[in-house]
Amino acid sequence: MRNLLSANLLRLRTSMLFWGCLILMLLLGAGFTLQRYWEQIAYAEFGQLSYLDEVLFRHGLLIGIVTALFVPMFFGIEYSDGAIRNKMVVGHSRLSIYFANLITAAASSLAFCAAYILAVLALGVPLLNGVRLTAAQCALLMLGTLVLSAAFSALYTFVAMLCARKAASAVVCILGVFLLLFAGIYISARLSAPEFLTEYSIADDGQVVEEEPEPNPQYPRGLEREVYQFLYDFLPGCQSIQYGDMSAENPALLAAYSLIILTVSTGAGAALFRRKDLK
Amino acid sequence: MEYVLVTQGLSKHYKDFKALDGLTMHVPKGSIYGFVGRNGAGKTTLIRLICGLQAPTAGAYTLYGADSNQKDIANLRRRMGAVVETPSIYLDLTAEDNLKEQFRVLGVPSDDGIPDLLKLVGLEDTGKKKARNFSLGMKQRLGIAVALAGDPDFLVLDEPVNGLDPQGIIEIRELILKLNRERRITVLISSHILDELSKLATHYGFIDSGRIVKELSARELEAACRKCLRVEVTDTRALARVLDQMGVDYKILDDGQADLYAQMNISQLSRALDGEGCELLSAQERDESLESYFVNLVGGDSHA
Repeated sequence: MRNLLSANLLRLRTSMLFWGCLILMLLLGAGFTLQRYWEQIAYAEFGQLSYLDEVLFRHGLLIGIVTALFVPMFFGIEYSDGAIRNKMVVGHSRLSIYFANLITAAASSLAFCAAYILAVLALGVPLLNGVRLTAAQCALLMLGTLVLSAAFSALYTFVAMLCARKAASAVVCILGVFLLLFAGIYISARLSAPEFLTEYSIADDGQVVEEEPEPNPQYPRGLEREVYQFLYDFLPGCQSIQYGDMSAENPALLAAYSLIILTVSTGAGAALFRRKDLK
Repeated sequence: MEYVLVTQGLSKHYKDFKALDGLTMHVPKGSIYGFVGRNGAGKTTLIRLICGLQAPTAGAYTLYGADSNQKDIANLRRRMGAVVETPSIYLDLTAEDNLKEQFRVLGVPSDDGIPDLLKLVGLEDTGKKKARNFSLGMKQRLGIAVALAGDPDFLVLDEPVNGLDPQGIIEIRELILKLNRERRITVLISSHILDELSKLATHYGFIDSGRIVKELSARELEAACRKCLRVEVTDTRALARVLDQMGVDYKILDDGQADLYAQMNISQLSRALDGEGCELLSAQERDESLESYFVNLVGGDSHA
């Protein structure tokens, strides 16, 4: 597998796609940081302060999208150009090919995260205020986002290795990540809905009268709320939303769920790839 | 005879379709084995199986004597190189980078062999040109160079001259002959272009409907396809006596027919037979090409 990893890394070095994604993450990191800085200047008279941690973990929101662009295109070339055959003909096992590609995808994804973080630190440290979180909280959030990026990589590797058509696997990954993000936005809205709704009415004398609060039908209760909460913590798109708006309360749990996704998708992908007929 | 590849009852089914149906073939060491069959006969399926791209539904094969079900078959595949259907090359890389990539896949510690390999296939002057901009012949030669990166002694080429112009066909032919003669590489080559194959192959395997219908050496095929005069006579024993006296090479087919492998003077033959009390009933010149041999073998509905 070391040979396969070496070959993948050599191809990464010359891949325009890889460097393009890396630069995109650098620009996004710089862009978000500068945006917070300009907001701080614009609203200085209201005493608004921008902090580094407001943008430092936002790669958790972006990494799913950028990796969805990169992984199916990078590994899809092996099918479209037929180069995967060169690995199999000379005796590399399907498992080693799958795992080498997974490791390459995860390493690339971590490199994209690193590019974002570097840009944020390079601009944010001199321009923004410091970090409000403790070192332990920061470490947990960082760990969570990095494990999430690995989980995304595992899901996209699953698709890219099992779907021999590059365009189809790219569409599946990109549509998939946006569906997951929209699911995250929807579930977030449901979970943050108020439990009770208070209605106001205008009395005959023209005074505004506050009615008795009534239960909000949109507020999920009991088992429904537990299911929503589980999905919000479990699904990678929902985790992305939580890291993006800094609402992740339990990053360790999210990281554990990401590890489960990584393990299950890799196990299933490797098993299916072993039985796949290649052309 | 020592064989590089032997398949035994190899079958591959895709749902109800039998792409290979108990195929048995023998590729001798050092040979150029021409694998001939019409479209859909199962040539590429067989190549996919022996390259490990697909698993057989039934049957097995041995590569250098090792059974395909054994674990060390993966190690033995390192002695193989293959170009299956289209050349397996990264189109966005140069020829040199493609070879570097394959050297990494193989774990070759140094890139020193790349210039020689490029020279061998005639791509030493391609420089920074991406494979995407290569002609079909250049891509095919680069595919062969990639297949040769591991210094294999068994090369599998699936339709290597398909779509090439005459110059490209000649280049690939000369390359294959060079590899076989100078490096002693055994070559399994499938091709539709039978005339071209006849200029290369030392052995042939004819496949139809997923089965090998005939395996023979080029010498045997040449004998079968030799230009001859087929004569019909009343007494083949008398014919044999006459031909022996004339010193003519012949083959008795049955009681009334024989093939004569020489330019014959019909009047002279007829007079000589008359002297032996035998009549010459008919004489027909026959010249069977590889193509007509193949068509006769598998039926003439469609061509290879």
